Amino acid sequence: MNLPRLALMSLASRWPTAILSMLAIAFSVMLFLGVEKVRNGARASFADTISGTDVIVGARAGSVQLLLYSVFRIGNATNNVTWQTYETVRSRPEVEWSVPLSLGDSHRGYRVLGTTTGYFDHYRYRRDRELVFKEGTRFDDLFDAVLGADVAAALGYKIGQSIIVSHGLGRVSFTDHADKPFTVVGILAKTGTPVDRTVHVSLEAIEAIHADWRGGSRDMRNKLSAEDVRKMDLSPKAITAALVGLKSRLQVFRFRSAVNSYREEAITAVLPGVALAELWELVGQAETALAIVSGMVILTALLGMVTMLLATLNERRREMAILRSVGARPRTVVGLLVAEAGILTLGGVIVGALALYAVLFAVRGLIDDRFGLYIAFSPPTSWELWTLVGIVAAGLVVGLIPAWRAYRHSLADGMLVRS
Amino acid sequence: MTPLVAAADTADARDKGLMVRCTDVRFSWPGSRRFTLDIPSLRIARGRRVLLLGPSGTGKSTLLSLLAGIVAPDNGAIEIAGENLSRLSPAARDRHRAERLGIIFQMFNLLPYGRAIDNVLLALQFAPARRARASREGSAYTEALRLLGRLGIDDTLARATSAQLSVGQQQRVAAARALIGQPDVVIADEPTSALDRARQRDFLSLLSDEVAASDATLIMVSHDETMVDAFDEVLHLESLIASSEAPQ
Repeated sequence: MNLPRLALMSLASRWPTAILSMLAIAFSVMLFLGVEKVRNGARASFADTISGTDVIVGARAGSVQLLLYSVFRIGNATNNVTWQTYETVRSRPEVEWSVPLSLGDSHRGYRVLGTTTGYFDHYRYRRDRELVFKEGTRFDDLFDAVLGADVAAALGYKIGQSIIVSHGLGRVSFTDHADKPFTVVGILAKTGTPVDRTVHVSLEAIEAIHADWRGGSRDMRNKLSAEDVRKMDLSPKAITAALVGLKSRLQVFRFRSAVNSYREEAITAVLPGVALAELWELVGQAETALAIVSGMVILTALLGMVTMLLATLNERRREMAILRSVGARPRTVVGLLVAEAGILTLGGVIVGALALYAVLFAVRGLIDDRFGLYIAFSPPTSWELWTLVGIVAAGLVVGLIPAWRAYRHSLADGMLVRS
Repeated sequence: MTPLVAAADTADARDKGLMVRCTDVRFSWPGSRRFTLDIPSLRIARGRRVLLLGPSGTGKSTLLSLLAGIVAPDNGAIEIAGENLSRLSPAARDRHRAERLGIIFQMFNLLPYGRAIDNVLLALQFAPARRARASREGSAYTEALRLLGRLGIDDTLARATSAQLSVGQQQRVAAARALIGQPDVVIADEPTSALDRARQRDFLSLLSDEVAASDATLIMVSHDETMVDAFDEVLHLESLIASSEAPQ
């Protein structure tokens, strides 16, 4: 019998406690790897919210703020960009395409985005994925609306349904554009991005519902019906921001410089990747907190294993004495205990990793559908692998605690153990 | 001059037959202020079956730990099979014990998770020379089965775990483990205390036969004087010890 086999047989003889210890480690490894996968998935989903857009143009503000309100629909713009300025920007030679965005209204807490049909052509997410219609089609009529997947699912809307847009962004609004209802003509497939929580209408529709509004409230003396506004010139006067694609990425810095130095209006151009990186730095503290929690769970499981080994040590003194009697050195006794700790930890790591991948395989589609969180079914990263190796090493190190006690016993007991 | 040389040669020749020699051995357990064991002299010849008798608490097991080299004396010399244990490093003492000694404990003698055969082969785990001796006429496994068979443990029982064996069967397996690979000395620490009289006799008879067959020296400690007939020599521990207080 060699040492690992001896350790295995010894553990097998105490299989209920050994399995519980191993399961505790397995669960902690599952949690650690799960958190890592979700963290990486969240980071990827976050970064994948927008792709293919080279520059976002908006009123001068911080790059994170511009990104948050234009892409993530969080917060508000400090100012609008005039249509004339937008026309100037999009007519620059570097620009291949541009999509104007107009935000400011809502429907039952969901943002209403005024844009062009170019939005459905150029908006990309998760590494060049296009928006896909689950049902219906793009808006065509002035009062057509296209719903994001979450809006339709949460509110139970179907194609042909009539919806009313509210002025402002509150979940409950007292100023509805009730006289100009929209008809749902399309529902987008789930993207896992803020698009899912957006009601899309045309820029002209945004102008139309505000045609009889003056200074933030409706002009009650000059009310205009839906039919009235159809006859009006609904050319946009201002937008909130614009997504811009350039002919060449090499032109990004020249374009940004030109926008940032535009004298007629205070506008700015931000690179989505750079702004995302800045934003991720801000939320990075949460990642650290998650990592600390995972580490503490692993430590707790390892301490549980040590407690189990220590608890059984006294009743195993006879076993150690037998080993010493056949010539085992005290360090062999140490090796046996460390090997047991190593086997439990290694077993826990393997079981935990396999269980996580099994769970991931089973539910990642559901997670993607429900939460828009795409978790890649990929082998462990080198960081994860090294951490798993570190856990096994930590298991061996904490195994030294019962091993040291066993060593002391083996020296002190001689052949005197009686029970 | 000649008679003195002759006398020395004679003594030398006699000493060459010694398997155990303790000279001025003193030992106290770490942390114990009071002196425990003081053995001016103990000599046991090769091939003898010696019973060390003494009441509980006279330091019998401590003496066996010293003879096994599991603990080292504070003073004096212990020679086993011609090797002065005091001059050996702890590692060398462990190797010496593995190669030259077989040990039988009082009870709970087997690794609980091992089969009987595994427990016997455990004696060869740290003793390559002893393994070689055990494998001389085949494999160590075959030799272990043979020994177990001679001690009344058949092949089926040999593959049973210790929990499936009776106390008497466990003691026989322990005896097989002590005897495999022909050690020079077999040390037994009250191995029959858990057995009834009839089984004690059977066990001692089997052990004596096997020890004789392998030409080993048997040193057994006990407080039971009824078994003196089974031994060549009986030593009373009190007569060996100069002083003993608070023994282990």
